[in-house]
Amino acid sequence: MSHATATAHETPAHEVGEGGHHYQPSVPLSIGKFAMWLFLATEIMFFTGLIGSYVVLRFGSKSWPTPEARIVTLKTGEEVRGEEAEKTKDSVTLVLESGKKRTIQKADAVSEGEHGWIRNQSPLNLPLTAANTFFLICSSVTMVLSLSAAQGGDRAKMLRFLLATIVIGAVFVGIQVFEYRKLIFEEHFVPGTNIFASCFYVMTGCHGAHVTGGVIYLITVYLRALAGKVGPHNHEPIEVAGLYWHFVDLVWILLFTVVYLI
Amino acid sequence: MSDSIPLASTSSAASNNDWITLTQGARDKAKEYLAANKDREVVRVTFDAQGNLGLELDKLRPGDKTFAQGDVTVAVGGVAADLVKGLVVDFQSSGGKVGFSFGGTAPAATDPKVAIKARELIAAGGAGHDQHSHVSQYMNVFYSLIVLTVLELGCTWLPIGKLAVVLMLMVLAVTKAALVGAYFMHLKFEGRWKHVILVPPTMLAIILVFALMPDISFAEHGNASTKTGASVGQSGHGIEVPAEAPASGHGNH
Repeated sequence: MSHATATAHETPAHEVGEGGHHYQPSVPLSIGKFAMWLFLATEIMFFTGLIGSYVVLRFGSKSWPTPEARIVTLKTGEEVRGEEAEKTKDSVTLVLESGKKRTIQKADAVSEGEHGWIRNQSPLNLPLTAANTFFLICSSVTMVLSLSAAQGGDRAKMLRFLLATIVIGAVFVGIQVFEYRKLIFEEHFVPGTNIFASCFYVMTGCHGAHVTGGVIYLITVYLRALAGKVGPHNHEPIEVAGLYWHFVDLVWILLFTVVYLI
Repeated sequence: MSDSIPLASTSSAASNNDWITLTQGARDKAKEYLAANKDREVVRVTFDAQGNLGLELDKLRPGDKTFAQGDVTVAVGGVAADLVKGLVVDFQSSGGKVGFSFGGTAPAATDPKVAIKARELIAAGGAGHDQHSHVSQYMNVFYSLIVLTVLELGCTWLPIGKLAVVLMLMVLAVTKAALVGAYFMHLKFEGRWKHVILVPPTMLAIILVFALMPDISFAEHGNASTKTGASVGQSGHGIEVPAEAPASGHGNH
């Protein structure tokens, strides 16, 4: 994009377009956006590495604590592990590792306090994390609405939506921390427990670190916006920050599906 | 004259040759720039924060007023059109400096304050129409994401085989990711550079994972790890495993 004023040299090093976008004449893309996309390209590889190794490790395992995996302790002391195939009031049919099915009667099993007689192999809290996923999606929406407001010239709306994004992002991190505490101190599910635990903590931990960094990044943009440096006249920083935030949301969408649901 | 230029837009394209004048030199230069930037359609008159007039290469936007000057179409934000009436744009080299210069009787050319006002007018008025259509689009994407998430959660209760559930979940997840990428990250509307930046890392990521799978997933390592929960390395192809190995492989509780 070529922007020349009366006294400008014919081909300046870069030009400033509307909304504060800084352009290189050779690349049809503003510098900030280009840099952020390059960074996101590396992040794609980073998270694909993590999720990819999870898939690879899981493929190579005979059993894995999936959402349907159960443990039933019999009165004889035997522990039966398998994926739930059928469940009635008084019995459950588990598919064992060997592939054979085994039906266990409630009467033969030990009931352990609040766990009941059928326990989950996976200690993860699916409903809470599903809610968390919803929150993160909401924060993505508020982020894009903030950018839209900035592009439309509405500074107050832009600030409001930006603040909403920050708050919801912080809530997401808070809920993740709450879950971690419960997993570590109550369920005794630590990275050393098994390979699933190790994968889980590395993946969600790295993602959580990215969200935390994103919240801090957004706070700096927000402070600059309050100071007037960022706004409808200069909305490029909001767009660039938005790219990072949407990417973090995108990764979580995939992570949640792969780790919690499959 | 502007009718012959097939520009898809909703501009109020009442062309008036006398409104803005580009000298021959300016026209030639503008044509040159447009030819070098194939996805730009018009030369846009802009006003910066200091009240300086400038020219930009751009696409047509709703609310633009366009003026045909030979082969070059000049656009300006509709609300500011009156302020550029009588503008003369020249391209010259004088005293070692090269560039576009602005003159004529246009109020914006003679008084920087007018130019600043024009800029504010465009920011406030011109984009309003744009914004509404985008917000409803974003909300539609939001509702779709919610529905897809609910479908994902409901998938596990369907009475179909595990493989079918996994496939459905992956399709839903990828759809959600694509929606966020295309609309929130604006990729649907970006140029060809997105392929240059995104395709190589995606290819590398997928290829590397599949390249490692035979080594890690399908190799026989001989013994199940007793400390780790999942017996990594056992062949995934249904070869019989000694009874005692799996039981010791779980360390959940």
